[in-house]
Amino acid sequence: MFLLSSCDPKLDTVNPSNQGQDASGNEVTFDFTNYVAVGNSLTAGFSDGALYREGQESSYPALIAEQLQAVGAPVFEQPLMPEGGGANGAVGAGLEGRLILTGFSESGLPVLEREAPSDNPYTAVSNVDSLHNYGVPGLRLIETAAAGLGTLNPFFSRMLSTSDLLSSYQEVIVQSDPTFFTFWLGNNDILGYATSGGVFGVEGNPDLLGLNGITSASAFELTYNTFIENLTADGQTYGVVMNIPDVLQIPFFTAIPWNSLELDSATATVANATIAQLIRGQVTQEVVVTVVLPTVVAGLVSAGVIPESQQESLILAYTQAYIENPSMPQAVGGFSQDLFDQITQIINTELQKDTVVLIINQATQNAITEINQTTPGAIPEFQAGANGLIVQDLNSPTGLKQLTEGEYVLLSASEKLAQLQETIASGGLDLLAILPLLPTDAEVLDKEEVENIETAIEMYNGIIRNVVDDNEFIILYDVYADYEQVIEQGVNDNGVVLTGDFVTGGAFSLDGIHLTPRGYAYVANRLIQTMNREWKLNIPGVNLIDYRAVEYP
Amino acid sequence: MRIRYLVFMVLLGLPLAGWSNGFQVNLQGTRQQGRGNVGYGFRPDASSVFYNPGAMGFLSGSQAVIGGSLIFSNTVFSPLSDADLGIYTDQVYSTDNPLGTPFFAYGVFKPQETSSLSNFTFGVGVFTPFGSSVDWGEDWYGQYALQEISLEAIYIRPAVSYQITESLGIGLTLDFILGGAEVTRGLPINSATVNDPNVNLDGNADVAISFSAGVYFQPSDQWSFGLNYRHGVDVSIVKGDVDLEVPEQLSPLFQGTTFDATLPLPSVIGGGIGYYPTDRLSLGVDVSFITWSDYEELRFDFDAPIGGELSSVSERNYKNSWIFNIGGEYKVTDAFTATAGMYYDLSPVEDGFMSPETPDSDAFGFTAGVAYQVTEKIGINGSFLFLTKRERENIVPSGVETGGVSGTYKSNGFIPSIAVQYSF
Repeated sequence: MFLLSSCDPKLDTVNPSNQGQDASGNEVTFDFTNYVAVGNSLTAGFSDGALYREGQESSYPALIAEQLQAVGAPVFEQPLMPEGGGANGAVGAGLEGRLILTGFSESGLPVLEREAPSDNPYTAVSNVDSLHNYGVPGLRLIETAAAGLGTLNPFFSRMLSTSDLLSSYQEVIVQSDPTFFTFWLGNNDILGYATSGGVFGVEGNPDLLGLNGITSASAFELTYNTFIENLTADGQTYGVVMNIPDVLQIPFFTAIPWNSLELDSATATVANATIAQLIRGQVTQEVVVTVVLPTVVAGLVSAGVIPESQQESLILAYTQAYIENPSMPQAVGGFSQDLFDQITQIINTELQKDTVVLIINQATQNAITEINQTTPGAIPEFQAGANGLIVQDLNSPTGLKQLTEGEYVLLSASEKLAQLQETIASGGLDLLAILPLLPTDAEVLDKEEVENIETAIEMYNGIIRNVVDDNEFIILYDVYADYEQVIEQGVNDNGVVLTGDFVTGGAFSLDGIHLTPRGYAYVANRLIQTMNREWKLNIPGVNLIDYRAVEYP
Repeated sequence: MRIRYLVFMVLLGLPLAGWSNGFQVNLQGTRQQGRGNVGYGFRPDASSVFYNPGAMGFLSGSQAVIGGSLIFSNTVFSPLSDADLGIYTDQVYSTDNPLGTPFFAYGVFKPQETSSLSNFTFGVGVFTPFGSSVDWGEDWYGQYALQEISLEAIYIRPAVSYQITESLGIGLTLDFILGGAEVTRGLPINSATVNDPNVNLDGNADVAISFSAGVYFQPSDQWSFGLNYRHGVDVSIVKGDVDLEVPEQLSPLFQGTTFDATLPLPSVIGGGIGYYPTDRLSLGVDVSFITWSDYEELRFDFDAPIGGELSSVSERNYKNSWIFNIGGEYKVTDAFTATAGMYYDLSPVEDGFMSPETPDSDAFGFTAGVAYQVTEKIGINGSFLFLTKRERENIVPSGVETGGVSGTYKSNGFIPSIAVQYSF
């Protein structure tokens, strides 16, 4: 039996090689002895809302480097986090560890919890002098030339020796003297704007050096060119650059569809009536203040109830009290409560009169027409089935805005919206209860913000394309196309299916932005395939099945 | 009675392993296996109940035989990481197949020449011409396609032959087919609490009924010819058990409890020639044609959704295939005979449609055997088969759900066999 089993069939299929060709077809022996990964959180292996050890161990650079060991690369050094939940990037009170999935709510929504952070997560690592993975969570391309980033970004500072603390990111990278590099920067030059709902505008938050803004094309181009030139200046360093995926397709922006407000027809009717009542109420107030009240006070003056000298101050005082409490204005300005009650009574009688009702009806109609013309969506319209979500909008005359197709709700609004659905389902349509549950401007992207994002991505990718075309030492891995493929069609890699669906899709981690280990393995494989194709190398890929997707309880 | 005992053992579900192409198991006679599995038109024995019932009447008397084989088989697989460029990952996976032990038992009863039934010969057989047993384990590359499968089909066959003339016999059989299947697939779920989320489908087939027919012609002492037809039949499992291991939170997505499935067993048309140039030397050839094109898809229908799907369909798209056998026997002494042969078994699986359950490719079989007549009544046969399947690259075609994975397979097998025969 031992004899028999020793005669197992043999396969001789693997033949790794770093002998390839450069862009002009010259034979090149690629030198992978110092592979340096340049990038942000996606390069660091950030996942589930934190940088933690398991995510780092399956970062795409780590997986690529493992395959490169077959062709002479050394062990890949990463700035590994201490054991535990890792860190989300916050310092002090907001510091938390990774997200974990604990189950699903009754309505089928994932229930997420934060793990405790690792102890002293930002302490400098011991291998600062031999690091290969320089992925820095939060890093924007625009910051890479700035000195002193190490004092601002805790993930960067832990990767630096004390003498480098004030060096720029570019200086640190060039100093590490790569023989080969991968380069994936630029995502955060748009992502901060997108994940903050564009709330600070394209210039970003002035208090935080323009953070959460959109990097201008000219600044992007200049920084990108300089960085790549510095890396390839020695004439023997090769690299792969990656472009910017369409951030609006990732689950953080798609998990909650714009029209995810589900109503039955009875609720829709009540909601429409409530909105109509809201507008009519506002119009009525306006009619009372501008038309009815002056007439009533004039009547009181001519009846001798009050002196003419007090006519104007009474109108002002009552208006103020009425806006505060329309049903029972409380006397102010030295007038008696009896007088106020008398006015209120007369106004209420006036409001019953057909002529006044007619005026209010007409004014309501005019107001609706005007609002619909000037700020579409400010008066929501509900129907049975899926409805555009309602968000708070300070610029809207109603204070509300209904989303339309092409606008996005951020995953960060999911808890509020779950409560909103629950409130509506339990029959509560009280505006005061609902209003605080509506997403704010910081939790949605409107059409203009979406256009800003799409324009920027297009420009960035055009710039990256040009840089690649002009430099014979670098090739492009079109990760934009792979994201699109995974999200729009799904990918089936030998039974391992990846889609863009939140939690169940397998590619994206629980934060809806970063990838799962399996998602990173896919990126690693596709990058290796690009190298094999462009440079005629033979580097084996990894098996996706060996890397996990989202972990269920 | 011995035969009944054996039937009982087989029905208890001894593990079987398919070791011919498709999921055929061509291990129905130790003596035949020793000479390249030649049996349709070659010198009959009790195994003719399987190979050609038309030859039963040519036995000199009644005879019973029981025997079985041990299948030591192994398949290795190396996954492609880039099918376009033909680049492989650096991992190789290997099956851990259970030892296959197909058995057979046949009895041929010849009425006395004075009997009014003397032109008839009666036979009974139990054998396993189809089956498959492959275990890739839980953690292998294609675990979502297949972790483990075992298929089995057991034939219980009464047979009768009629001697038209001294040199021409015909035979007919009625086949009762029992069977079952068990398939385990991994589910693409990672869980902190469930170690290996998977779905296990296990069911017994309803009894299927079919038939076979054969003709045997022996015009002279030097030549014999045989033809055999075994009729194909669909074997169906109704309401087999679905056993799911999934995290509790996902159970709303995995509601299925039973499944239905149908597996077609193909028809086999075979012909063979025996040639006996001297008293000591005899030679034979066989050709089989198998209607594997009946096997279009492997389909499981569930009573309620499993992972959102009410059915699981894998394209099989088999084509009809052939087996060519050649072999011979040499009588060293009156009691001792040596045999040898080989065969070539063409795969019914089209390029790109290989699946982990039948990692099929064209196969060569090399065989040798001995036969020893211990007493006038008792004989022992032993044989050894070495089978090697060609290394074959499989690239799953895009847009087709084959349930397969892309990479290269290679398989071989070592199959010793032994049988005891008793004449009376």
